[in-house]
Amino acid sequence: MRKYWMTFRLGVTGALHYRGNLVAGFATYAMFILVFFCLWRNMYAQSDMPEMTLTQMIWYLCITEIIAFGANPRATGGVVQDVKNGNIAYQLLRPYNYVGYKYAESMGPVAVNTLLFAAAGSILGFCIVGPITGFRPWTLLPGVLSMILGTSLLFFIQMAIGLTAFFIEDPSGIGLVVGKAISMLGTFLPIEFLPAGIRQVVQNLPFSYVTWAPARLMVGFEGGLFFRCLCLQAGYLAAFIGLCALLMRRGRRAIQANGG
Amino acid sequence: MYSVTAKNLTKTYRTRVKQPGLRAAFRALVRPEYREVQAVRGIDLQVEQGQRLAFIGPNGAGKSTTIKMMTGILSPTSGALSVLGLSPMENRRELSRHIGTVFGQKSQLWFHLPAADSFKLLGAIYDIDSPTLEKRTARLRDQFGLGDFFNTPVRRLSLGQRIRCEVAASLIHEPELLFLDEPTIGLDVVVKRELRERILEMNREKGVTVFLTSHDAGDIENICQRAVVIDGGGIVLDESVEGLRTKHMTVKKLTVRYAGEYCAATPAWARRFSCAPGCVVCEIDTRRIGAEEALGHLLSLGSVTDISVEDPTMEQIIASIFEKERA
Repeated sequence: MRKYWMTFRLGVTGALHYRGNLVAGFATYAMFILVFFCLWRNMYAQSDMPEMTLTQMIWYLCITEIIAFGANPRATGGVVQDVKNGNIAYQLLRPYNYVGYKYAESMGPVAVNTLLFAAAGSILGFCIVGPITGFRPWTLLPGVLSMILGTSLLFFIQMAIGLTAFFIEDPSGIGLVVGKAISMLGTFLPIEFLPAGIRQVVQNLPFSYVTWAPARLMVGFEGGLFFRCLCLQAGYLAAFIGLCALLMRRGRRAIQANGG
Repeated sequence: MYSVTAKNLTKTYRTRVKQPGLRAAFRALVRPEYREVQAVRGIDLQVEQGQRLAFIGPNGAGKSTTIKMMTGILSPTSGALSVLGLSPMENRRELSRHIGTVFGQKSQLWFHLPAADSFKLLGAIYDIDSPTLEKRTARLRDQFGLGDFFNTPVRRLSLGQRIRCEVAASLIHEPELLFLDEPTIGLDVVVKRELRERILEMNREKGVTVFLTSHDAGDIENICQRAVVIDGGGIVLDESVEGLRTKHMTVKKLTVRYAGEYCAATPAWARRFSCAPGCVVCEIDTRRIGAEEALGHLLSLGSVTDISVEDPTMEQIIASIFEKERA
């Protein structure tokens, strides 16, 4: 495990060196939250929504966007590049698990960015709507656990898409569709706001367990919901890890790195 | 004891043929065309432990494909392959602990990190404990002269500095077998010489087997004991480097300078003959005429002030082997 821990630590160091990139990210994040705040304030002014209070809704958005901006490992592009330019072949010359190594490498910057966006998001949330009424700080713990699982699930979904580059010319189209599914099914809008029939389906798909589950648990913790989310996140995580292992095994045999 | 044993090793690629034009592109959607490329055809090779072998050939000969099979990157289409007693495809991870690789055209270091951090990370990847890693890092840093730029991010290093770091990094886990694929490409003569000396030192001190591919005849001449020439995916020559020199050095260049402005017509025994006022340059094939006899003819032409006899360079020898095979 030392190799993966070391990789993670160097990922953290690298992210701290390139912190200038974050400034633009913070500005976009703040703009995003402010636009949605104006939108939801008008909607709440017109009719009451029993699913969430306005304060919960804004905090929900702050948290899902922390994941979207800060905790997004963006693993697909790197893997597709590695497969296309043949670098993956050279990386396989080391005694480690390629997927595990990429996970450790991605999680370094993810940890730094998430902490920084969480700090920015908390300040923004307090400035706009203040604290959630009746919020119990200990519920942050299960929320953070769910966030770690959600981010890991997102990494392995992106990794599996990237590894399909072994077999198809360009998997970026699949990545785009999955990215939109994650955005639409739980990032911009809590799934409680979807029509009942669609909600039933969406509740069982992996996409909502990337952003919706952690944000929903943090703004309104429920024991039963936490247990259900945890089981589904762990189950989907195991499924995507298995899929990555399978794609990697098949892909290794498909490597064609001819030429000097 | 052999480090590498290959028996009837072959590798065939299946590549998609893309015809030019819009019509062909639509046709390929329905009926794609494929072409089989046989990159390696039945290679038989044994490399003894501690040997320094040059695996040479023209572009597209199958050198890199063979190395990639030996390191476990590519799976052979058929044949048997054993590297350090392991099957590269089946035991890739185990094998990677015992082999070192340097691909001159691909960096294996982390570009945004200083070389020192790359060494630490490689130490962790190869499960080397901290005291051993520190000792090895210090030794390699001194041997390869990395001290001045060891803490500079790799992306800021010159090519020569980077390649020195690459080779040193490939030795951090003390491999038994070192694959070097064009390690001196793009380097200046001084750095090349230093690098060759370091490789020889590692071979002498640790008994590391060296498997080298290079287009640089100097690498072959200065590092290797044995040369295997590959062309069209098959071995065409397997010879000691000394043997290459003696058996294939049948051409000699004789230069004779005369006191007067003497010039002669091309003699029948010369391969090439050029005549400038006071100087004759002539190439002979020693299988047709001995150097002594040819010199005798040239000396009899006039009063001689200077004579030189030159052997062909390793580059010329290799080029002539490739030309013969192609012919």
